[in-house]
Amino acid sequence: MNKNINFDLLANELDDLKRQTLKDVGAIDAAYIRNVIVWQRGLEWGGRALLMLGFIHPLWWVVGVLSLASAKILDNMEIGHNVLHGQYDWMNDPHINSRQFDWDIACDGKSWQRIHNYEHHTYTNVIGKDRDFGYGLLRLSNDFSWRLKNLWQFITYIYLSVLFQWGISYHELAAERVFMGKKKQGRASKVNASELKRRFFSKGGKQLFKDYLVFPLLAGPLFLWVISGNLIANLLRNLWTSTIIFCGHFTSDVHTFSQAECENETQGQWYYRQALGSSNILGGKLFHILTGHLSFQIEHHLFPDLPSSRYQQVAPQVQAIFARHGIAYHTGPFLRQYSQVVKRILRYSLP
Amino acid sequence: MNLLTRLNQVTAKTLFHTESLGSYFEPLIQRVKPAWRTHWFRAQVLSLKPLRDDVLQLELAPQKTWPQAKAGQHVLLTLEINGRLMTRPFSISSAPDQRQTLQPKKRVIRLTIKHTADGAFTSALSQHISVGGFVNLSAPQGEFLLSDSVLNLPETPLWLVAAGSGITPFMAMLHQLALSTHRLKPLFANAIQSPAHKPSNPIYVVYFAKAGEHLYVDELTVLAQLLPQLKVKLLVRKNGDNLATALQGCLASSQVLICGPGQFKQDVDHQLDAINHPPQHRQAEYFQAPILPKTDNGEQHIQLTQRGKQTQLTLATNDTLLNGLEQQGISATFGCRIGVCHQCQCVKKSGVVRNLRTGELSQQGEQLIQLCISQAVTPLELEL
Ligand code: FES
Repeated sequence: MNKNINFDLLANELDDLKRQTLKDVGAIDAAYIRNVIVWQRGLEWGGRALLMLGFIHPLWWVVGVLSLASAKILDNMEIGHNVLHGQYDWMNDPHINSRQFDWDIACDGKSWQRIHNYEHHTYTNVIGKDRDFGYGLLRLSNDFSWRLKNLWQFITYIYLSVLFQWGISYHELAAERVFMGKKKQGRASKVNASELKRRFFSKGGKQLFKDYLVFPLLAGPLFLWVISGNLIANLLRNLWTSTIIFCGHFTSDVHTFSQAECENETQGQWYYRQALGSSNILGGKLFHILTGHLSFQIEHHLFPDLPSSRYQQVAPQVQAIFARHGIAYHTGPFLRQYSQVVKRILRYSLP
Repeated sequence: MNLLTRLNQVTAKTLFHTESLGSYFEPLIQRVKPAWRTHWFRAQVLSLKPLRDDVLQLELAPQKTWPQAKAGQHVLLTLEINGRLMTRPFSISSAPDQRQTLQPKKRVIRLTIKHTADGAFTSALSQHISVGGFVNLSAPQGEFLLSDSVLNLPETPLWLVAAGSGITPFMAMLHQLALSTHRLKPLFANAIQSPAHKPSNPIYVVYFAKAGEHLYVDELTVLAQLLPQLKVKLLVRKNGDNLATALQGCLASSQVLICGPGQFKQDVDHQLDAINHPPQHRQAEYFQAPILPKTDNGEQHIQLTQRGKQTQLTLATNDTLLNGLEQQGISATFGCRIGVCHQCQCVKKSGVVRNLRTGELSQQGEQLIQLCISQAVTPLELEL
């Protein structure tokens, strides 16, 4: 790690920023998340209704699909991801909190929370500890030795994006351990394998049941319009989330860390690693909301439980702090960030 | 669980991943009905008036489905204070089934709220509610009620012994006794009509407070006119009044109800013991004096509830709750242990914790806390 940085000062400044921002968190933020939920509900029901008007004019169906897809994106990103991070727990709301909430994707919220909030956020980009780095499927840095399957990893990546919700579900379950009996040292799981399996199938099953059976059946003769609409809405959501998430951690300037580097890490060093392990995407307000504010991946990684409604506000201050300490702040427009991701996947598919 | 509830839950879980349909639609319903919540009843604020500098009287019209309270019960009042839902218990000081004078169809309950040392809730109260606005209520709860012996045996003398704001549940009881059980009339109206049947038990109100701080003095006078057998003693300790004289004449057969601070309750108990009043004829409701934050080297006292089982624990000083619990052989879920992942989250029912990362103190009431970065400042009730 860079020895020229005053990590204690960095930690103090970032801690202060967080404290100051949290002080202002209140009614506005509660109203914000409730508002997003209201929009989500509206888009979901609007979408489901419009799907059935496809027989009048297919354009209705197209609008319905987009509306339903946006609802699913909001539910997954701005609501689900952030609520499950505990960002809105301070509201004391019996429904909008990280213990109660579950989302509209195949991955069981509790299982996700256990792995993602812990492994990924504590050990961001630490090779061997953060399994989110390449999801065990892709080779994205020289930290991993090259294998033949990496040759076609771009295709693997496309598959992963298309089936992202299932990939996440399988991954967060650490399925290779649960299903194949692979064991890794030092990773005692507090939830036993059969419980994990049960959750995997019960949540996944519910998803299939509702989108591909209940809602289409409710539509009666319009069955096909609805089932295809649901399928495409799910697909759009998968592609969107996967793309945004890849832009957050796998652009070209994102660093990786070895386990040795992170031993006995101080708070400042932890912040530093979060900063270098993430990258942002520039965009407008609506874009940020649709990414669940993961377009502020850096801020999210510094302050994972700060309400998402505050990321836009703290970003300039974070950038200023980084500038003072000479830490790079990785950001760029969507296309630039995304092309870097694609390049990275392609680059490391070769030895 | 009845079939409908079950159906509701299964549908909600399968289609919307929420615990009930209500919780899925809640934010939408709130657009039309402010403060509508699945967990609580809704009540409209009818009036808000300070009785004293530190005492606020709140009149509320609960929604129709709110179960009728019995005199002496309390409710949990929930408010959204700066985006955060906060809940505190308060005694009801009005008679059951009181009606609104203008709209006789609407029930009214009256809460008398005293500012406490932990003022976060009470001081925010007047800023965050306004007449016409909505708050949330729990169903009425509590077993501090007029006993059958009082209600059915006209010869049982009734002693109501209060200190400070401990008078509130007694106001509810006295109004109940003053009103006929047949025809319930609005109270506090000037023209209170004489009810058909009045209980004839001798009633003594022994009410201690600081000089000039007795609540509801006028109302007690009106009640004394309605209930000729009612004797009210407004007492001030500083002026030389004491329990021994106040409780003179209390018979072994008397039913004694005590309400006030914990210390007051003890004093009354001693005095009653001294005059051989049997404990089975006593009922008490008392509140602990506000517990002052302990110093950093104080022990941490925890009352832990796990799947309905309760245990008392004393944890080592200067340790996080997570470490402390583990040392006692209690395993809580955890992940990062540095306050990032929220897996160690659990429900704190009551008490104050310090967040070790920010140094901030929590509220007294129910909250989610992270065990790995929290330390008990006052005795806590936790649920794992
Ligand atoms: S263990 Fe991760 S927040 Fe407490």
